[in-house]
Amino acid sequence: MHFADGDWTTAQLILPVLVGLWLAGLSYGDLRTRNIPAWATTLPLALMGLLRTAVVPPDGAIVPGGVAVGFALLMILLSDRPSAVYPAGVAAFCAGLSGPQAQVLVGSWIAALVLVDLNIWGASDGKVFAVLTALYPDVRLVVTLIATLLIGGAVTLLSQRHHTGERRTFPAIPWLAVGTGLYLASSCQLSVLSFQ
Amino acid sequence: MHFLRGTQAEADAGIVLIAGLVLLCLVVLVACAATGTSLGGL
Repeated sequence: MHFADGDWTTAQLILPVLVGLWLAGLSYGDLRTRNIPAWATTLPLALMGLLRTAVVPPDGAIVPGGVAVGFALLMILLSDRPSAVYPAGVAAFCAGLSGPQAQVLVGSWIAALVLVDLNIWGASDGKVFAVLTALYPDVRLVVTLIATLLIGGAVTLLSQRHHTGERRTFPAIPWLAVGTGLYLASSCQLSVLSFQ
Repeated sequence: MHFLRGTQAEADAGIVLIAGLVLLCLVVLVACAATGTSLGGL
């Protein structure tokens, strides 16, 4: 599930295509209506959470990597209640014991949830971000996604600079799709270079 | 369940700029700390 290290297989080539199609569909809906059906983001998030907990845990071990993701899932399930901080704390602790993949995954899920709760971005944006970091728990993906969102915010502010006194929003999922494309392209490039 | 049931897909441009910069700095700092690299060495 981690493509930056080379060793490409058919599954590793098909998965980016599926992710691309999923992001393209979501981007189309986001650009049209600024709303995405909940199932289109919640089902992939639940699937990736369960896979990362029990089947393909981050850093290659269910204890503590898979356990960290399991508690991060519990945090999301309890996210309407203050008690969500307890599974979040356990998830962060287990991720700290695990390795960089679990740390990136759990850290980005906590950040996505906090950004949604603060109404900085929509719940669909947060779930797409969480699914992408579960698929590719790599700090380079997180940096690329944040950079593309910064560009998206700057473009929106510059293009709407004459509008005053209103909340200026932009569809974030197309920018997340661009960031994912850049990351996958650079990972492929790194992978090719590593064979030389 | 607001997070799981939510359908909104738009971000506040101004706050995303601020929050994004803060997050980016945090990620770079943590990554540097984890690898033992100094920020000047990047």
